[in-house]
Amino acid sequence: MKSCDKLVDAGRRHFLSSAGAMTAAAAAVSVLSTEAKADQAPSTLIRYPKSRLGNVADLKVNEPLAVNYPDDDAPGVLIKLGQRVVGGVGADGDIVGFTTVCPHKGFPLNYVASDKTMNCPGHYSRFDCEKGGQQIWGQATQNLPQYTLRIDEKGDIYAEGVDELLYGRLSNVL
Amino acid sequence: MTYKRQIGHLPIIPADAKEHNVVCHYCIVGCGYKAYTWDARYEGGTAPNQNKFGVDLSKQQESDTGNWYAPSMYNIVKQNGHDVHLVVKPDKNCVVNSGLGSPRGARIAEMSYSRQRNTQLQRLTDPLVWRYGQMQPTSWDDALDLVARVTAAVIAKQGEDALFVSAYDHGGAGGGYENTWGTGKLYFGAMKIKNIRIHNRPAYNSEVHGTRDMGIGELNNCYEDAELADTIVAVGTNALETQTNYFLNHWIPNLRGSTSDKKKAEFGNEPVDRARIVIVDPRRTVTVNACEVEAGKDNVLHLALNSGTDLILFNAWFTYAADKGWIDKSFIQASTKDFDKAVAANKVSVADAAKVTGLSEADIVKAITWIAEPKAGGARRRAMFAYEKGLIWGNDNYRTNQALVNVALATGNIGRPGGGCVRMGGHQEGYSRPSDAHVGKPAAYVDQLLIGGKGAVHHIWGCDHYKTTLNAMEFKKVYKKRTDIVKDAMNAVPYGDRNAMVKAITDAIAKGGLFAVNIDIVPTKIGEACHVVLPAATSGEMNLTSMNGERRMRLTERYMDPPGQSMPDCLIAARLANNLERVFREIGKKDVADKFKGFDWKTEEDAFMDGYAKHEKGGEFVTYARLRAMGTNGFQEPATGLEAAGAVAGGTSTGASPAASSDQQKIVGTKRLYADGKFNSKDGKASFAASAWRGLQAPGKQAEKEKFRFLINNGRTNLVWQSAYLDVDNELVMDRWPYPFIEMNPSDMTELGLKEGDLVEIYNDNGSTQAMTLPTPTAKRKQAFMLFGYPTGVQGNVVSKGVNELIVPNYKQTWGNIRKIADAPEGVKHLSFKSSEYVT
Repeated sequence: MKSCDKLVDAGRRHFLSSAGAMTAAAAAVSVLSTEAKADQAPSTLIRYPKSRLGNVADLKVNEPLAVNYPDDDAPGVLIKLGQRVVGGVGADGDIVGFTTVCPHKGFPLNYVASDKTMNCPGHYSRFDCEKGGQQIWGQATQNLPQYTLRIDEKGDIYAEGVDELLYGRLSNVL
Repeated sequence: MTYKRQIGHLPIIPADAKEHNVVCHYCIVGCGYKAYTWDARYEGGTAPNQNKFGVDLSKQQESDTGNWYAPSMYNIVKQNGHDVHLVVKPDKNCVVNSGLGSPRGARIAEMSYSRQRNTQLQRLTDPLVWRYGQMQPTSWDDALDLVARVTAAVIAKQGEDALFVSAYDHGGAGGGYENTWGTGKLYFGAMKIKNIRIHNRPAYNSEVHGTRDMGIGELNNCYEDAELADTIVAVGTNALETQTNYFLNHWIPNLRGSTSDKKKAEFGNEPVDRARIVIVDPRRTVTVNACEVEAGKDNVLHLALNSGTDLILFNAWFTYAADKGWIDKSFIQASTKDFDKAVAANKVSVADAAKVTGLSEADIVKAITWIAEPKAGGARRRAMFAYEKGLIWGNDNYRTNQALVNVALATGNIGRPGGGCVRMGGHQEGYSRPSDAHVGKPAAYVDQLLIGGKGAVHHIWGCDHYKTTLNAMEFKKVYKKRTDIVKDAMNAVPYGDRNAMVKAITDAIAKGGLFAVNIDIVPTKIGEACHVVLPAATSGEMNLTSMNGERRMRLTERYMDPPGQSMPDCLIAARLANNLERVFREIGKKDVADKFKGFDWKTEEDAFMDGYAKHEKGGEFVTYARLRAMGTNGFQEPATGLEAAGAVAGGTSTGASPAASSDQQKIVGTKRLYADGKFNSKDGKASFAASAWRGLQAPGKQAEKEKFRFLINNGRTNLVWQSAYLDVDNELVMDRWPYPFIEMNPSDMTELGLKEGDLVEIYNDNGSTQAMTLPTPTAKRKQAFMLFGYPTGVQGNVVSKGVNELIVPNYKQTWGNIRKIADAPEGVKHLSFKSSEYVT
């Protein structure tokens, strides 16, 4: 029995450290290399809705458009930054989308157009919308969750995923 | 691309998950957390009866909820050999942080050793020895035997002064009462080691001798005092980044005016208002910004003085308050001595202080008015004084410390609600050791002795001089040379021939070599020079007690297994003592061997009961069982009794019998020290100190200032603070700060032809180092600020060996030149260089 138990244990270890783990979605992700994480589509087990958030014609440069994604309880914004950025979509490569809920304590972020940052009135965290939501300074342990966007031939903007866990939910899709 | 985890789901904590008390082991604040663990094969559900929170997790939770955790708070670890899910999240019921998590503490889980999720695989799992030209794993018995034989041979021949030791003296990770006692009993009990230094400074000394010699311990108030003060005086402390949740949870509410009801309840008819704050710091920090946002600019006075001139400012305040009569005469009369002497010795005019500090006379007067002018109706103004490394690692440490305490004492602000004169602190504290009196005062300048060829064996516990000492470039150069002599000698004999190996090592020592042993949880930079590396367990992998900046003592419970063969430092010390006893006996030194008795501990609790419980003030009331029951709030040291029995007379207990382990009575603690007006001196009186201004005190500093163009001010940043040893293996942190930044005024950068993110060399006559430019419009011209203690650019390389009379280093007053090395490398191109300051 003893050796049998060990086999079971070893099997579970293998299971958990391989990319097929079911309970531990996070574990599955962490075994990929950093490069893979950056370049590949989100490999979580979440099935994200493909939601139309607006049309490029709705966007004015540097004026955030309030949206919700993946559902109505998850506020965010679309921003046409006016300058091509990594991760930007559209003809000018400058359209991005972010949650507006601070990943530290869930306070609503303010967009500051003068330096294209999101600012948290709760504990002063700041995120750079031109750098993929990088936390410039702050209390969060995540950079700002950003939407995976797609624009169709009509100029409709669709969100199809989020690259970090949203505050206040243990599954991005409830 | 900015680092993203691509995690859209976390396992839910089931209702039956185990709950453990955790205190964050990184900084002094000691925020309360809870660790939840459960079998890795399942998770809870969204229905209220399926999860630990008892709420419907299929709904979006509100801001500031306790029912959520970030991916950084999650991991899979081993517990008693089995895989378990681990969530370590802030505890809303802890009075220290009320559920707030800092960007360090909120990564405790992610920074745990996990082979399942590949985190912190850098952790040491086996004892390592230098064998066949590289470090190789071995057994504890083998490694300890080698260390004991070499150490014993050296002591037998040269005496204990040839054994050099570097050891932490603090709480939290890499410390705590168990481990300071374990190391202390070994080096100060079984031996009387004199050539010993502390983790962050080159001698075995206090950083705050100044206040202690006046009879005033440096952690004398409670965090609530920051909510009760009329004025907070912050000297050389950037609290938002380095005592984050103390600042956010206790200073900010007072600056917002939201503690008025608490003040009214405490102080009756005394007029109360939102706090004002005086910040003494040559640099504008995010702390200044946050205070302005919350209190309004009119209630924030930032005194951006010339670097190193704090002392004369405090003396001007002291003189002015004494002249105006803004002092607490009855308190001075009843509880202090030498007031008049200090007034005479420290007399300085506001005009003279303005000249030296570069501040306006009006601002100096405004500050002391905010601090000391009686309130309407004549009530004494309550001022809380807080200081940290800007003062501690600044010019003329001892006197500057005393000059500030003089002001606090004269205004009656020690031992009173809303007062205190306290250091803000780095690590938690956790000091319990036999007397260090034999070390002497001033203590030996260990780094300089090592550079000078002294010492034969060096034991290094949880410190990395290569990253965090002064004069680091010179130290590394000599240290490598001396340890290489031993490595070369070890290469020349077969490892398995123990006698030949010990002889080869001791012969190499005779030729100027140094045998180095490193005890740590991760590979360190100095560890690369060592011959034996012993793997230690950290907080959460062992039970660990410490106290925070208001002396709040808690027990972090063991919630996971330590990696591989690693074990708690206290037990490593005990096993080393056992081996030394055996070896001394074998070589016929029975009297020496007998000194190593009393190390038969099996667990860290054994070390705690042998040390803290028997030797510290109030220790007889403290047990693991009682601490467990008191959760993340614990009690404030010293303990004075048990709730059922009431407080009994305090005093150091020696040899009191420990309580039964099942006893969970509540421990009664001490909210503020000196509340009775009695201080740490024979007559119970605090002394005022003569602390006249004498310019830049440390040898060579004035000449360095005149010779080099930039002040190389230095300190910490929010994301990396007391966590750097693990952060080097954390993707979030290394993505944000691949290199240490150096904040520079944009005009200075233009003059030097620098762009954001460029790599620059900082150099002077002490050495050179590198950093990445961070344009900072608020930085003063010719005043740069570099991230301290970072592995990819060590600021200590350019810090001179100049210290004060008690061998306290002076990192802050460093001057150097800056030149470009290279354009921004690929690894920094994704970084944001925008201002850190919050914009409303």
